[in-house]
Amino acid sequence: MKAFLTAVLFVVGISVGASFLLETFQRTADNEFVGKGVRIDPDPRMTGAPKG
Amino acid sequence: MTLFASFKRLLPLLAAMALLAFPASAQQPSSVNPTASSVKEKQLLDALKPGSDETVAGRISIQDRRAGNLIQPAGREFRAFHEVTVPLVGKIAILGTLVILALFYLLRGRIMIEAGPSNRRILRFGNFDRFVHWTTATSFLVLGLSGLNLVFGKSLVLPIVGHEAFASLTQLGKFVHNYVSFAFAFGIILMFLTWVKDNFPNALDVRWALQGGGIIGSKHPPADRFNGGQKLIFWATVLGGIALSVSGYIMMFRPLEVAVSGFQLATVVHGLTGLIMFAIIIGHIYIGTIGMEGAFDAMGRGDVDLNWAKEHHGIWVDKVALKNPEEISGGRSPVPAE
Repeated sequence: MKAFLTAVLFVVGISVGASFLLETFQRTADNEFVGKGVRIDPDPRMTGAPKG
Repeated sequence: MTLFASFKRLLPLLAAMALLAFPASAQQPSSVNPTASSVKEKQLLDALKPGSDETVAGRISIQDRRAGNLIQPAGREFRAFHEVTVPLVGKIAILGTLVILALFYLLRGRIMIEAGPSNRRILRFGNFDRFVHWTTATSFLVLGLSGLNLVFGKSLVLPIVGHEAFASLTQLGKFVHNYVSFAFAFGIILMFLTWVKDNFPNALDVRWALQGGGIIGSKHPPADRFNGGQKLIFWATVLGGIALSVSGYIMMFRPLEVAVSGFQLATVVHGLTGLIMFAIIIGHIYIGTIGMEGAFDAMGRGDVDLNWAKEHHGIWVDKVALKNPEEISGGRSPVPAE
Protein backbone atom coordinates (compact mmCIF):
# COMPACT_ATOMS: atom_id res chain seq x y z
CA MET A 1 0.00 0.00 0.00
CA LYS A 2 2.88 2.36 0.85
CA ALA A 3 4.51 1.74 -2.53
CA PHE A 4 1.20 2.29 -4.30
CA LEU A 5 0.49 5.59 -2.51
CA THR A 6 4.05 6.77 -3.10
CA ALA A 7 3.64 5.98 -6.80
CA VAL A 8 0.33 7.85 -7.02
CA LEU A 9 1.85 10.90 -5.30
CA PHE A 10 4.85 10.68 -7.62
CA VAL A 11 2.62 10.57 -10.71
CA VAL A 12 0.62 13.56 -9.46
CA GLY A 13 3.83 15.46 -8.65
CA ILE A 14 5.44 14.80 -12.04
CA SER A 15 2.22 15.75 -13.84
CA VAL A 16 1.76 19.01 -11.91
CA GLY A 17 5.44 19.85 -12.44
CA ALA A 18 5.16 19.15 -16.18
CA SER A 19 2.03 21.28 -16.46
CA PHE A 20 3.77 24.16 -14.66
CA LEU A 21 6.85 23.96 -16.89
CA LEU A 22 4.91 23.67 -20.12
CA GLU A 23 2.38 26.36 -19.28
CA THR A 24 5.16 28.71 -18.18
CA PHE A 25 7.78 28.22 -20.86
CA GLN A 26 6.06 26.70 -23.88
CA ARG A 27 4.79 29.25 -26.39
CA THR A 28 2.25 28.73 -29.11
CA ALA A 29 3.35 29.06 -32.74
CA ASP A 30 1.54 32.37 -33.27
CA ASN A 31 3.37 33.82 -30.26
CA GLU A 32 6.70 32.29 -31.13
CA PHE A 33 6.94 33.19 -34.80
CA VAL A 34 5.04 36.45 -35.13
CA GLY A 35 6.40 39.76 -33.88
CA LYS A 36 6.04 43.47 -34.53
CA GLY A 37 7.52 45.27 -37.53
CA VAL A 38 9.61 43.95 -40.38
CA ARG A 39 10.93 40.47 -40.08
CA ILE A 40 13.49 38.71 -42.20
CA ASP A 41 11.63 36.31 -44.40
CA PRO A 42 13.33 32.91 -44.27
CA ASP A 43 12.44 32.37 -47.92
CA PRO A 44 15.31 33.75 -50.06
CA ARG A 45 12.94 34.30 -53.00
CA MET A 46 11.20 37.07 -51.12
CA THR A 47 12.32 40.52 -52.30
CA GLY A 48 12.63 43.57 -50.13
CA ALA A 49 13.78 41.76 -47.01
CA PRO A 50 16.24 43.77 -44.96
CA LYS A 51 19.84 42.63 -45.27
CA GLY A 52 21.97 41.91 -42.31
CA MET B 1 -2.00 51.87 -111.53
CA THR B 2 1.11 50.22 -110.48
CA LEU B 3 1.26 47.83 -107.57
CA PHE B 4 3.40 50.30 -105.61
CA ALA B 5 0.86 53.11 -106.11
CA SER B 6 -1.96 50.84 -104.90
CA PHE B 7 0.04 49.96 -101.79
CA LYS B 8 0.65 53.65 -101.04
CA ARG B 9 -3.09 54.28 -101.15
CA LEU B 10 -3.77 51.36 -98.80
CA LEU B 11 -1.04 52.36 -96.31
CA PRO B 12 -3.14 54.78 -94.17
CA LEU B 13 -5.89 52.21 -93.96
CA LEU B 14 -3.43 49.54 -92.80
CA ALA B 15 -1.99 51.97 -90.24
CA ALA B 16 -5.46 52.75 -88.90
CA MET B 17 -6.24 49.04 -88.60
CA ALA B 18 -2.98 48.49 -86.74
CA LEU B 19 -3.79 51.28 -84.31
CA LEU B 20 -7.24 49.88 -83.68
CA ALA B 21 -5.85 46.41 -83.15
CA PHE B 22 -3.15 47.49 -80.70
CA PRO B 23 -5.34 48.00 -77.60
CA ALA B 24 -6.83 44.56 -78.10
CA SER B 25 -3.43 42.96 -78.27
CA ALA B 26 -2.28 44.98 -75.25
CA GLN B 27 -5.04 43.36 -73.15
CA GLN B 28 -3.51 39.92 -73.74
CA PRO B 29 -0.56 39.25 -71.41
CA SER B 30 2.41 38.46 -73.50
CA SER B 31 3.50 35.63 -71.17
CA VAL B 32 0.39 33.53 -71.65
CA ASN B 33 1.21 30.11 -72.91
CA PRO B 34 -2.01 28.12 -73.20
CA THR B 35 -0.13 24.83 -73.38
CA ALA B 36 1.87 25.59 -70.25
CA SER B 37 -1.32 26.63 -68.41
CA SER B 38 -2.97 23.37 -69.35
CA VAL B 39 0.06 21.41 -68.18
CA LYS B 40 0.02 23.25 -64.86
CA GLU B 41 -3.69 22.62 -64.44
CA LYS B 42 -3.19 18.94 -65.22
CA GLN B 43 -0.38 18.77 -62.65
CA LEU B 44 -2.69 20.35 -60.08
CA LEU B 45 -5.51 17.93 -60.88
CA ASP B 46 -3.08 15.00 -60.72
CA ALA B 47 -1.85 16.21 -57.34
CA LEU B 48 -5.43 16.25 -56.07
CA LYS B 49 -6.27 12.71 -57.22
CA PRO B 50 -6.95 10.12 -54.50
CA GLY B 51 -3.79 8.20 -53.72
CA SER B 52 -1.51 11.08 -54.67
CA ASP B 53 1.27 11.65 -52.17
CA GLU B 54 1.80 15.23 -53.30
CA THR B 55 0.63 18.31 -51.50
CA VAL B 56 -0.60 21.67 -52.72
CA ALA B 57 1.21 24.27 -50.67
CA GLY B 58 1.45 28.03 -50.64
CA ARG B 59 4.41 30.15 -49.57
CA ILE B 60 4.45 31.55 -46.05
CA SER B 61 6.92 33.58 -44.03
CA ILE B 62 6.78 31.81 -40.64
CA GLN B 63 9.24 29.06 -39.81
CA ASP B 64 6.64 26.31 -39.70
CA ARG B 65 6.32 25.66 -43.45
CA ARG B 66 3.64 23.03 -42.80
CA ALA B 67 1.23 25.88 -42.09
CA GLY B 68 1.39 26.71 -45.82
CA ASN B 69 -0.02 23.33 -46.73
CA LEU B 70 -3.35 23.91 -48.48
CA ILE B 71 -4.41 20.47 -49.63
CA GLN B 72 -2.96 17.03 -48.96
CA PRO B 73 -5.00 14.42 -50.82
CA ALA B 74 -3.36 11.57 -48.86
CA GLY B 75 -5.01 13.10 -45.78
CA ARG B 76 -8.33 11.67 -46.94
CA GLU B 77 -7.04 8.11 -46.63
CA PHE B 78 -5.46 8.99 -43.28
CA ARG B 79 -8.75 10.42 -42.02
CA ALA B 80 -10.70 7.35 -43.11
CA PHE B 81 -8.14 5.06 -41.44
CA HIS B 82 -8.04 7.17 -38.30
CA GLU B 83 -11.80 7.60 -37.98
CA VAL B 84 -12.93 4.12 -39.03
CA THR B 85 -10.16 1.51 -38.93
CA VAL B 86 -8.45 2.50 -35.68
CA PRO B 87 -11.69 2.47 -33.60
CA LEU B 88 -12.66 -0.83 -35.22
CA VAL B 89 -9.33 -2.39 -34.25
CA GLY B 90 -9.83 -1.02 -30.74
CA LYS B 91 -13.32 -2.48 -30.42
CA ILE B 92 -12.17 -5.89 -31.63
CA ALA B 93 -9.07 -5.90 -29.39
CA ILE B 94 -10.76 -4.71 -26.17
CA LEU B 95 -14.13 -6.45 -26.50
CA GLY B 96 -12.42 -9.57 -27.84
CA THR B 97 -10.13 -9.68 -24.82
CA LEU B 98 -13.04 -9.22 -22.42
CA VAL B 99 -15.05 -11.98 -24.10
CA ILE B 100 -12.08 -14.38 -24.10
CA LEU B 101 -11.37 -13.67 -20.41
CA ALA B 102 -15.04 -14.12 -19.48
CA LEU B 103 -15.16 -17.44 -21.33
CA PHE B 104 -11.88 -18.52 -19.77
CA TYR B 105 -13.16 -17.69 -16.30
CA LEU B 106 -16.37 -19.60 -16.93
CA LEU B 107 -14.55 -22.66 -18.27
CA ARG B 108 -11.40 -22.74 -16.11
CA GLY B 109 -12.47 -20.75 -13.08
CA ARG B 110 -10.00 -19.15 -10.77
CA ILE B 111 -6.54 -20.72 -10.79
CA MET B 112 -5.99 -21.79 -7.21
CA ILE B 113 -2.85 -22.66 -5.25
CA GLU B 114 -2.97 -26.42 -5.76
CA ALA B 115 -1.13 -27.30 -2.58
CA GLY B 116 -3.09 -24.68 -0.66
CA PRO B 117 -1.64 -21.74 1.31
CA SER B 118 1.51 -22.71 3.19
CA ASN B 119 1.58 -19.96 5.84
CA ARG B 120 5.12 -19.25 4.69
CA ARG B 121 5.94 -16.17 2.64
CA ILE B 122 8.68 -15.27 0.18
CA LEU B 123 9.62 -11.75 -0.83
CA ARG B 124 8.63 -11.36 -4.47
CA PHE B 125 8.95 -7.61 -5.10
CA GLY B 126 10.59 -5.01 -2.86
CA ASN B 127 9.32 -1.48 -2.28
CA PHE B 128 11.18 -0.03 -5.27
CA ASP B 129 9.90 -2.74 -7.65
CA ARG B 130 6.33 -2.06 -6.58
CA PHE B 131 6.82 1.69 -6.81
CA VAL B 132 8.01 1.29 -10.40
CA HIS B 133 5.07 -0.99 -11.22
CA TRP B 134 2.44 1.29 -9.72
CA THR B 135 3.95 4.44 -11.22
CA THR B 136 3.65 2.92 -14.68
CA ALA B 137 0.31 1.25 -13.97
CA THR B 138 -1.55 4.24 -12.51
CA SER B 139 -0.28 6.62 -15.17
CA PHE B 140 -1.15 4.14 -17.92
CA LEU B 141 -4.65 3.76 -16.54
CA VAL B 142 -5.21 7.54 -16.60
CA LEU B 143 -3.71 7.77 -20.09
CA GLY B 144 -5.71 4.80 -21.31
CA LEU B 145 -9.06 6.09 -20.06
CA SER B 146 -8.50 9.65 -21.31
CA GLY B 147 -7.28 8.24 -24.63
CA LEU B 148 -10.25 5.90 -24.97
CA ASN B 149 -12.52 8.91 -24.42
CA LEU B 150 -11.01 10.50 -27.52
CA VAL B 151 -11.74 7.39 -29.59
CA PHE B 152 -15.07 6.19 -28.20
CA GLY B 153 -16.27 9.11 -26.06
CA LYS B 154 -18.52 10.63 -28.73
CA SER B 155 -20.49 7.42 -29.06
CA LEU B 156 -20.34 6.18 -25.44
CA VAL B 157 -19.97 9.16 -23.06
CA LEU B 158 -21.58 12.03 -24.95
CA PRO B 159 -25.11 10.53 -25.03
CA ILE B 160 -24.96 10.02 -21.24
CA VAL B 161 -23.46 13.29 -19.97
CA GLY B 162 -24.51 15.73 -22.70
CA HIS B 163 -22.54 18.08 -24.94
CA GLU B 164 -21.31 20.65 -22.42
CA ALA B 165 -20.14 18.15 -19.83
CA PHE B 166 -18.54 16.03 -22.53
CA ALA B 167 -16.68 19.03 -23.95
CA SER B 168 -15.33 20.00 -20.50
CA LEU B 169 -14.47 16.40 -19.65
CA THR B 170 -12.66 15.83 -22.93
CA GLN B 171 -10.69 19.07 -22.68
CA LEU B 172 -9.66 18.22 -19.13
CA GLY B 173 -8.79 14.70 -20.25
CA LYS B 174 -6.62 16.07 -23.06
CA PHE B 175 -4.54 18.19 -20.67
CA VAL B 176 -4.30 15.40 -18.10
CA HIS B 177 -3.27 13.00 -20.89
CA ASN B 178 -0.45 15.33 -21.93
CA TYR B 179 0.90 15.95 -18.43
CA VAL B 180 0.57 12.43 -16.99
CA SER B 181 2.47 11.12 -20.02
CA PHE B 182 5.75 12.26 -18.44
CA ALA B 183 5.22 10.02 -15.41
CA PHE B 184 4.39 7.12 -17.71
CA ALA B 185 7.49 7.64 -19.86
CA PHE B 186 9.61 7.84 -16.70
CA GLY B 187 7.96 4.67 -15.38
CA ILE B 188 8.74 2.83 -18.63
CA ILE B 189 12.42 3.79 -18.36
CA LEU B 190 12.56 2.70 -14.70
CA MET B 191 10.73 -0.53 -15.51
CA PHE B 192 13.16 -1.36 -18.28
CA LEU B 193 16.22 -0.67 -16.14
CA THR B 194 14.84 -2.56 -13.13
CA TRP B 195 13.63 -5.77 -14.76
CA VAL B 196 15.38 -6.18 -18.10
CA LYS B 197 18.03 -8.49 -16.62
CA ASP B 198 15.34 -11.06 -15.74
CA ASN B 199 13.37 -10.75 -18.96
CA PHE B 200 15.67 -12.03 -21.67
CA PRO B 201 13.98 -14.96 -23.44
CA ASN B 202 15.52 -18.41 -22.94
CA ALA B 203 14.77 -22.10 -23.48
CA LEU B 204 12.55 -22.21 -20.38
CA ASP B 205 10.15 -19.85 -22.09
CA VAL B 206 9.80 -22.22 -25.03
CA ARG B 207 8.91 -25.05 -22.62
CA TRP B 208 6.54 -22.69 -20.82
CA ALA B 209 4.81 -21.80 -24.09
CA LEU B 210 4.63 -25.44 -25.25
CA GLN B 211 2.83 -26.33 -22.01
CA GLY B 212 0.37 -23.47 -22.45
CA GLY B 213 1.86 -21.61 -19.53
CA GLY B 214 0.29 -24.03 -17.08
CA ILE B 215 -2.99 -22.19 -17.47
CA ILE B 216 -4.47 -24.93 -19.60
CA GLY B 217 -4.42 -28.11 -17.53
CA SER B 218 -2.96 -28.42 -14.07
CA LYS B 219 0.73 -29.01 -14.76
CA HIS B 220 2.91 -25.98 -14.03
CA PRO B 221 5.92 -25.53 -16.32
CA PRO B 222 9.10 -24.54 -14.48
CA ALA B 223 9.91 -20.83 -14.49
CA ASP B 224 12.53 -18.49 -13.12
CA ARG B 225 11.68 -15.07 -11.67
CA PHE B 226 9.49 -14.28 -14.70
CA ASN B 227 7.73 -16.84 -16.88
CA GLY B 228 7.21 -16.58 -20.64
CA GLY B 229 3.89 -14.76 -20.31
CA GLN B 230 5.29 -12.19 -17.93
CA LYS B 231 8.21 -11.62 -20.29
CA LEU B 232 5.75 -11.02 -23.13
CA ILE B 233 3.91 -8.47 -20.97
CA PHE B 234 7.23 -6.83 -20.07
CA TRP B 235 8.40 -6.43 -23.65
CA ALA B 236 4.96 -5.41 -24.89
CA THR B 237 4.88 -2.73 -22.18
CA VAL B 238 8.41 -1.48 -22.80
CA LEU B 239 8.26 -1.47 -26.61
CA GLY B 240 4.65 -0.28 -26.67
CA GLY B 241 5.50 2.39 -24.11
CA ILE B 242 8.40 3.63 -26.22
CA ALA B 243 6.19 3.73 -29.35
CA LEU B 244 3.46 5.56 -27.42
CA SER B 245 5.89 8.06 -25.90
CA VAL B 246 7.74 8.87 -29.14
CA SER B 247 4.57 9.20 -31.22
CA GLY B 248 2.85 11.12 -28.42
CA TYR B 249 5.64 13.67 -28.02
CA ILE B 250 5.78 14.17 -31.80
CA MET B 251 2.07 15.01 -31.65
CA MET B 252 2.49 17.19 -28.56
CA PHE B 253 5.57 19.22 -29.49
CA ARG B 254 5.23 19.16 -33.30
CA PRO B 255 8.95 19.44 -34.17
CA LEU B 256 9.59 21.44 -37.33
CA GLU B 257 11.50 18.57 -38.91
CA VAL B 258 8.44 16.28 -39.04
CA ALA B 259 6.23 16.64 -42.11
CA VAL B 260 2.43 16.50 -42.09
CA SER B 261 2.54 12.86 -43.18
CA GLY B 262 4.82 12.22 -40.19
CA PHE B 263 2.15 13.53 -37.82
CA GLN B 264 -0.43 11.34 -39.48
CA LEU B 265 1.83 8.31 -39.03
CA ALA B 266 2.43 9.27 -35.37
CA THR B 267 -1.33 9.58 -34.79
CA VAL B 268 -2.02 6.15 -36.26
CA VAL B 269 0.87 4.50 -34.39
CA HIS B 270 -0.25 6.14 -31.13
CA GLY B 271 -3.88 5.08 -31.53
CA LEU B 272 -3.24 1.50 -32.60
CA THR B 273 -0.47 0.87 -30.04
CA GLY B 274 -2.52 2.38 -27.22
CA LEU B 275 -5.60 0.31 -28.00
CA ILE B 276 -3.67 -2.95 -28.34
CA MET B 277 -1.70 -2.23 -25.17
CA PHE B 278 -4.93 -1.52 -23.32
CA ALA B 279 -6.27 -4.92 -24.39
CA ILE B 280 -3.04 -6.63 -23.26
CA ILE B 281 -3.14 -4.85 -19.89
CA ILE B 282 -6.75 -5.96 -19.34
CA GLY B 283 -5.45 -9.55 -19.59
CA HIS B 284 -2.59 -8.68 -17.23
CA ILE B 285 -4.99 -7.17 -14.68
CA TYR B 286 -7.26 -10.21 -14.91
CA ILE B 287 -4.54 -12.77 -14.23
CA GLY B 288 -3.06 -10.59 -11.48
CA THR B 289 -6.36 -10.24 -9.59
CA ILE B 290 -9.44 -12.42 -10.00
CA GLY B 291 -7.82 -14.89 -12.40
CA MET B 292 -5.25 -16.40 -10.03
CA GLU B 293 -5.27 -16.93 -6.28
CA GLY B 294 -2.34 -15.28 -4.55
CA ALA B 295 -1.03 -13.41 -7.60
CA PHE B 296 -2.05 -9.91 -6.44
CA ASP B 297 0.03 -10.23 -3.27
CA ALA B 298 3.20 -9.92 -5.39
CA MET B 299 2.43 -6.29 -6.19
CA GLY B 300 -0.01 -5.68 -3.35
CA ARG B 301 2.15 -6.42 -0.34
CA GLY B 302 5.37 -7.60 -1.92
CA ASP B 303 5.58 -11.14 -0.55
CA VAL B 304 3.68 -14.18 -1.83
CA ASP B 305 2.73 -17.55 -0.45
CA LEU B 306 5.61 -19.99 -0.74
CA ASN B 307 3.44 -22.67 -2.34
CA TRP B 308 2.23 -20.21 -4.96
CA ALA B 309 5.83 -19.27 -5.69
CA LYS B 310 6.93 -22.91 -5.93
CA GLU B 311 4.11 -23.73 -8.32
CA HIS B 312 4.64 -20.77 -10.66
CA HIS B 313 8.31 -19.85 -10.21
CA GLY B 314 9.98 -22.96 -8.82
CA ILE B 315 13.43 -22.23 -10.24
CA TRP B 316 13.37 -18.71 -8.77
CA VAL B 317 12.35 -20.09 -5.33
CA ASP B 318 15.29 -22.52 -5.40
CA LYS B 319 17.67 -19.66 -6.21
CA VAL B 320 16.30 -17.45 -3.44
CA ALA B 321 16.47 -20.31 -0.93
CA LEU B 322 20.11 -20.78 -1.84
CA LYS B 323 21.23 -17.14 -2.01
CA ASN B 324 18.86 -15.18 0.24
CA PRO B 325 17.09 -17.58 2.58
CA GLU B 326 16.19 -14.68 4.86
CA GLU B 327 13.63 -13.61 2.22
CA ILE B 328 11.59 -16.70 3.04
CA SER B 329 9.73 -16.32 6.28
CA GLY B 330 7.11 -18.15 8.22
CA GLY B 331 6.22 -15.31 10.53
CA ARG B 332 3.59 -13.39 8.63
CA SER B 333 0.20 -14.92 8.17
CA PRO B 334 -0.94 -14.87 4.56
CA VAL B 335 -3.72 -12.54 3.53
CA PRO B 336 -6.34 -14.35 1.49
CA ALA B 337 -6.22 -12.95 -2.05
CA GLU B 338 -9.53 -11.35 -3.00
